Amino acid sequence: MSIYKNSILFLTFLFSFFIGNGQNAIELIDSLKTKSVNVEKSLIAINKDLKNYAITPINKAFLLEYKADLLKQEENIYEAIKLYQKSYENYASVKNDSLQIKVLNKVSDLYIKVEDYSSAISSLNLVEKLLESTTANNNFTSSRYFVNMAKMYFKIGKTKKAKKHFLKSLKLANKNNRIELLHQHYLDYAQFNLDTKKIDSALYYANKTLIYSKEKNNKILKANAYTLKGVIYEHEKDYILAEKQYQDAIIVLNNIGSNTAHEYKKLGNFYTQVYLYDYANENLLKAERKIKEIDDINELENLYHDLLENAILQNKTKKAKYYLKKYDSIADIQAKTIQKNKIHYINERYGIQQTEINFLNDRNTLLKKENELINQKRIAKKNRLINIIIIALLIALGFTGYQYYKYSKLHFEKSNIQLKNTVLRLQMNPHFIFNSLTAIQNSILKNDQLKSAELIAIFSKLIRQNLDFSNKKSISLDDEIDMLTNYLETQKFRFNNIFNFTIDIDKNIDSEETQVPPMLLQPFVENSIEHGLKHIDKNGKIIIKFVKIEDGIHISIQDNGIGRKSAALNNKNNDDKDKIHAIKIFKERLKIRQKKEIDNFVIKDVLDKKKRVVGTIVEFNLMD
Amino acid sequence: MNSVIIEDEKNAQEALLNMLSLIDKNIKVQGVAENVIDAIELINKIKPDVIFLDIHLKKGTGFDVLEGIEDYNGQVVFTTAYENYAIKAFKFSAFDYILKPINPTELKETLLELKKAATKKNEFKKMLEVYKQNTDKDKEPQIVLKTLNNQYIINIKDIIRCESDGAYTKFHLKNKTYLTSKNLKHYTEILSEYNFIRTHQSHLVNSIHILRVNSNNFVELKDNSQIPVSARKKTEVNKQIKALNS
Repeated sequence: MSIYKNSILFLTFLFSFFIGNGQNAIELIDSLKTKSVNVEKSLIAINKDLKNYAITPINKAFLLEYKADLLKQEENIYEAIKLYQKSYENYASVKNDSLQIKVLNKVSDLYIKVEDYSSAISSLNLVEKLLESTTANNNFTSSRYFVNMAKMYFKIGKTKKAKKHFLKSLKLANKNNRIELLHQHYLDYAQFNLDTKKIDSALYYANKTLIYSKEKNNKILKANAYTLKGVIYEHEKDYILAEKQYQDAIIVLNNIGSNTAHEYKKLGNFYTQVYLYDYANENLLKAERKIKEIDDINELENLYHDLLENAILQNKTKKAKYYLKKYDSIADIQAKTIQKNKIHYINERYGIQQTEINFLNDRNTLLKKENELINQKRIAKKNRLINIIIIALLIALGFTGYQYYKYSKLHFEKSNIQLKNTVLRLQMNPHFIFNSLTAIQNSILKNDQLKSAELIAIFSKLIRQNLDFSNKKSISLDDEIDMLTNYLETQKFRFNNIFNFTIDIDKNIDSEETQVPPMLLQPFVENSIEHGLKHIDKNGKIIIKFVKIEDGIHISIQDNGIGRKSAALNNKNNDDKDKIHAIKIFKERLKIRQKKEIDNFVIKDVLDKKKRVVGTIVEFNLMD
Repeated sequence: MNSVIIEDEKNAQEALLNMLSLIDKNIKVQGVAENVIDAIELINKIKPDVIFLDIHLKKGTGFDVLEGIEDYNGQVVFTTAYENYAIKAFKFSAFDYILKPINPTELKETLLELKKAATKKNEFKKMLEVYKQNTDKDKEPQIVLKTLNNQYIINIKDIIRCESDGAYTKFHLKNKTYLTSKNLKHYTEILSEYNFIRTHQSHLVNSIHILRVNSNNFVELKDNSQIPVSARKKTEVNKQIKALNS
C-alpha cells in the first residue's frame, strides 16, 4: 500500500517538473528532501532533469551536487567525487563563490576519505583563494574549511598546524553563532585531542557537546558525543564508564531508528579489549545484523575480521575457519570493486587532465603526463594486487602456522616441560605470599600470640604442600582438598573473614583412592577471591563441589562475587593477563591428560531470577 | 608529622599503623583510605606531610591517586608487596618505597630521611612523570637526581660519569655537576642496564661517552676528562668496552 502511495507521489512531482520545465532545481531537491523519497527514485528524478537541455548552469550545479550527496550517502565515493567536481565547474562558470566553496569543502572531505591528499590539498587551496578574493560572508564555509585543513595536517603529521586550524574553525563558528556546527567541530577537535593524548581536553569538548545536544535534543550529535566519550574512557582504561557511553549511544540511535552497526562494533571490540569474549561475540553478531541491513560491504569485511580474531582468541577453531571463509570471500569481492573503482577514478582524472592539456596545446607535457598517469595507474593496480596477495598469504601462513604450532608433537613436549616449570609459579602468587605474611605480622603486632602461632603453622603447611606436590603428576583428592583448605583458611584470615567457604564431596567418591593433578582448582579459587569476593566486603561465599559421575568426577567452584564482567571492568591493574594466563595453563594441563576433559570446561555468570549477575561458576569434569 | 595510609587490605593498614605507633611517637596517622576516590578526597582534605601509598588499590592504583591530587607539597612513600617492574622505576624516579611485610628498622630509616629532606610544591608530579617515562619503553629514559635542596630530571644519555663522594654521588654532565644524597652503589645498580661501567671504586662511567682506554690505565671521555681504571677492573672494563663496540 505504502509503495503504491509513494509511487503516486513520485509520479505526481515528476509530472510537475515537466510542466514546470525544470526551472528550479532547488524546488525539486527540497521536495525530494521533505517527502523523503528513497535514493533510487530521487536519482531517477534528478537524472531526468539533468538531461533537460535548457537547464541553466546553476540549476545543473545544484542537481549535480545533490546527486553527489546522495551517492556519498550510498558510499559510492568515487562517483560522488566526480559529480562534486562537475558541480564545482558549473558553480565556477556562474562565479558563485560561496557555493563553490561549499562544494569544494565537500569534495575535499571525500578526497581525504580515499586518502588522495594531494587532490584534497589542491581543492582546499582553491577554497583559500576564493576566501581571499570574495567579499561575501563566508564564515560558515570557512570554519569547515579550517576543520578539513586541520584534519589534513594531522594526517600528514603536522600536529601544531592542525591545532591552529582547529582553533580557527572553533573561533569562526562561534563568532558566527553557528552553534550546532561549532559542536560538530568540538567533536572533531576532541578526537584530535585524544589522538594527541590530551585526554582532559578531549573529555572537556566531548562533554560540552553532550550537554548541548541534550539541551537541544539533537540525537545524532548526542550519540556521536557518547561514542567519542566511550573511546576516550576506553583509552583511559576506565572500562565501566566506557561501556556505559557505548550503550548510551546505542540507546539514543535505536530511539530514532538510526543504524547502530558502528556502535555495536565499537562495543564488541571494547569487550575483546577487556577479555570478555562472549560479550564481544554477542555485540559483534548484533553489528553483523545491523550492517546487513545497510548492506555496507566495507564494514562487513572489517566485522568478519573482528569476529575471526575473536574466535582465534577464544581458541574456537571451527568458528575461526567459518569467519575466515566469510572474510576471504568478502575481501575478494571488495578488492575487485575497489580496484575497478580506482581504475575508473584514475581514468576519470586522466580524462580531466587531458582536456586541460589539450587546451594548453602542449604536446610534450601531454606525453609526460600521460606516461606518468599510466604509470600511476599501473603502480596503483600493482600495489593493490601485491597488497592483497601479501595479506592473503600472511593470513594463510599465520593460520596454518598457528594450527601447526598448536598441534605439533614438539610443542606438546615443550609445553610439558614448560608446565613443570610454571606449576610452582602458578600456585603461589607472590602477592598472596607477601600479603599473607603482612597479615600475620599484624597479628603479632596486635599481641595475638596463639593466633599468630597458628597462622604461621597453617601458612607453613601450605608452603610445604606446595613444595611437595608441585613436582608430582598426581596426588590423592584427599591431599588436594587438604591443601585447598589451608589455602582458603589463609586467604580468609588475610581478608578478615569477608568470606566463608564449603567443600562438598559426594559420598560415592573415595577421596583417598582418587588421583587428581595437584593444585588444579587453586587458580579458580584465587580468581573468586581476588576478583570477585574482595570487592563485596562481607558475606562472601565459595562453594566447591565434587560430584561422582559416570567414569569420573564433576567439579564446580561457585562464588557470589561481583561477576566476571564487573571484575574485568573494575580492573585497572592488568591482573587480567595473569588470570587469562592461569586459565590457559589449566587448559593445557587438561589437554595433556588427553581425556577430552576440556570439552566440558565452562566459566559463566551465575544469574538470579531477574537475570542479574550474582556470581561466577567454573565447572569441569575429571575422567578416571 | 601528619600522615595518611592508602591501602586496600585491612591487615596491612593495621600492621603499618601499629608499627608506626611503636617506632615513632611523633608521627600521627590522620586517616586511612582503601580506594582511589576516597584517597584523593582524604589527601586533599588533610594535606599530610607523608602519604603511605600502596600500588594495588580498589578500583585503580596508587598512581591514579597521585594523578588525582593537586597542590600537594608533602612526601610520598610507596608500600608494595611485590611489584618488580614498579620497583625499578621507583629507583629512577627517586620515589621512596618500602616492601611489605615491613621491616621496622627500614621504616625507621625511611622516616629519618623524610624528616631531613625538604620538599617543594608538587614535586611528586615531576617524579610521577619520570616514573611513567621509565615504564614506557618507547620513551627516552630519565632519572630524577635529588640534591640537598632541589631535584632535577635528567636524560640518562646526558650523564657522562658519576663520582663517589663519601655517602654522596657527584654527577657530571656536559656543563653541570650535581651532588646527590645517595651513594655510588645505588646508582651502579640501577644504571648498569644502560651500559654504565664501574671502572674504579669511586667512578661510574657512561660507556657511550668513552673515547678510548689509554695505556696509563685511564679511560678518556668525550668531555676530555680522564678517569682511572683500577688494576682489578682492567680486564673486565676492556671486555665490556669491546662487547659494547662490537
